[in-house]
Amino acid sequence: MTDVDRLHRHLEERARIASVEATPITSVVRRAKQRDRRRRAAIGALGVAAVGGLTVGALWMGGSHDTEVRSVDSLTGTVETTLNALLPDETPNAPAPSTDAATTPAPSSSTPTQVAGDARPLALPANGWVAQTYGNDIWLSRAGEPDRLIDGYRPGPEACPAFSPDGERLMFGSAVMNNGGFSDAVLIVFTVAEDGSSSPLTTIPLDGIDAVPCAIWAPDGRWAAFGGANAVWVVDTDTAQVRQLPDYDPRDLEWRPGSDELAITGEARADKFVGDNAPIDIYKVSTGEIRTVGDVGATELAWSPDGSTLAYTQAVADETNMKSGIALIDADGSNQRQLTTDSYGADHGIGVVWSPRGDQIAYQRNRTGCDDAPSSPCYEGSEVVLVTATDADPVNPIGTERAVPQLPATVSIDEPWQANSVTWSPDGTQLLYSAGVQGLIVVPVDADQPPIVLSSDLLTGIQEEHATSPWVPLQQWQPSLTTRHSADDVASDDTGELLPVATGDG
Amino acid sequence: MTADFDGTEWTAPELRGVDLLPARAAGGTARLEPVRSDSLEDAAISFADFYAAHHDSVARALSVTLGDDQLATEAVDEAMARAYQRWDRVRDLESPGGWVYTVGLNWARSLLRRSFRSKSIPGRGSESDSAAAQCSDPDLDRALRKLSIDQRAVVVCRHLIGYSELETARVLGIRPGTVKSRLNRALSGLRSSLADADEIGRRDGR
Repeated sequence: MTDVDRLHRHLEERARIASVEATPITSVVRRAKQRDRRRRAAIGALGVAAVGGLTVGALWMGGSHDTEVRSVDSLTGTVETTLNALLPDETPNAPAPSTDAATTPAPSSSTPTQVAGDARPLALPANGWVAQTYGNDIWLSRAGEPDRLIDGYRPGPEACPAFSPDGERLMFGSAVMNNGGFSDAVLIVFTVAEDGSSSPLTTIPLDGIDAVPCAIWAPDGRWAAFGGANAVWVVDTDTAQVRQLPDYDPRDLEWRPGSDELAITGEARADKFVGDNAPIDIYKVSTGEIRTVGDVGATELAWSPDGSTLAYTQAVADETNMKSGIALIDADGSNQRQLTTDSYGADHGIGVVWSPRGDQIAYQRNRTGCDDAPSSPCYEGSEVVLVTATDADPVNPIGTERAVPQLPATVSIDEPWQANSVTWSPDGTQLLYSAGVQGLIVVPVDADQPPIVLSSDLLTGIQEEHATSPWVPLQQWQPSLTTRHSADDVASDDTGELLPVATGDG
Repeated sequence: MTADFDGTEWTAPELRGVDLLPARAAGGTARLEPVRSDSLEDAAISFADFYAAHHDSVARALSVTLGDDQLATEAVDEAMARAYQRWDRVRDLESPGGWVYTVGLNWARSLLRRSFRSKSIPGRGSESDSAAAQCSDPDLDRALRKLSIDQRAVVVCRHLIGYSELETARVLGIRPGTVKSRLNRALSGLRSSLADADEIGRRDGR
């Protein structure tokens, strides 16, 4: 008997002899209702202003925009009523099921909920649409409105929404599930107006891709790039021309602001296995040339908004976890310097994110100091850390780290909001968390304003597509539609601000 | 593929002791087409079916992971309640059973941390010792309990449930590479502990 056979036999035996109780389903339903009542009571006690009803919206795109809005509580109440009708004998002495959930409007968990009423309100971006993947569909969330479903009319999963740099277009990937694999992959592009209405969808077919393509926009808003099938793919969204850079298994991709250069790093290349850290290559669309930046190994990348500097993480394995440090290197491969060391366990898999203003880098780390067992990583979850990234701040020298204060438990009622990923608002004043199973939350950087629950109906989490395509943020704020800029003369980031063109290498 | 204790490559079989994905095709795909239901009554029925099919199997998987039967029952009840609250969403997920397992696991971790119930962690409580006594392979049970919960979660997903590396990564919300490294460390830990147990056994004349 092999060791693995022995392990299998033991695991199956251990599972078989486990003394777990067969809890009646009605007990679980009551537990759910109690949780819901506690949440409502807590929200009421806080005097939280809840806008609108508990709604989930569905927007069918293309031409007219029929919108279906239905009540989750209504569904829950009906489910419970039906369950109790189905299972009357399990709890014969249980009280009659309440139907208040079906009839009483509840404070919305999908509408923005601002906590701590004496602080000044947090100003959300004018457009305010946030795109994210949930349940194999693309959703738009905005403060004060029901979440909207973007229906791509595709038979397979749709994932990885990405707003163009000018904020006008949204792109996502889709593929058809076929015998356990994927086929007929496409990129879908359309415009999103300020009111959330859309243009008809443009579909770009992609042959040879066996996964949902997760693409990111180039600063010019024309080219897009993604990884898959042992290659990096660069797509002209205007002409549907597709270029393939073979022999890459990219870990991270990022377009250099103000340029047509794509930075690539990956766990493995065809010519050599490079472990957790890989060389950083830069592909230039206009010339087709590829160059390697410096002599460093990286796992994740982030360009500074002016395109002059590349931040990257390096994985370091120890006995119990993978940890990372953050380093900087100039675009021409010179001036390599360490920003942080031993910064964080990489379990959550979300890399560094440079602020639109260029002064800070956000990353996530596993929190320490709460070990249940010496050999275990912390079960508390992750926290978001801001690192000073420039020499301009005399108070907080470069490399200074500041953890964003933990959110009060009352924000989520039951448990802290733990970010699965973090992105910046276009103006760099707010962070957007995609938080576990809880939803989306907006957190002010300066912590002098309360956070806002943007959506808690969409059970966000790390999607399959993100596990294999980590260069795409789990959620992205729509860049401002009111400010236009061209990649020809300005650096292109999400701020809508005009930034000087990088004059470094490339 | 993953490595045996001794480094031999091994392919995870489909579905071992715990069936979290009963609709998984015989061909090995773990992908479930979303169960879309147009009627609320259908939604209720589908949750009841899901509950009947998964409560016990998820509880047993959590018991092995947490090493605490009572905590596992509490965790699966809590996770099922959350699934019920969001059923019109959860039912569309690729692996609702995997979602419940992970939500229960995270809830239990949080509870352990908050209430300092570290004595309930495998290897420290009398309940675990009692369970170990019932096992036909107590050395391996003790070795398993020496692993961290995170490592055990990966072991359970890969070797009890039968998830692939990618499926495990997706369910646990970690990278495929992290799954691989945790599993390698877990298997190394098991090998080391079993070697120690063998040495002690030889010394004691067992």
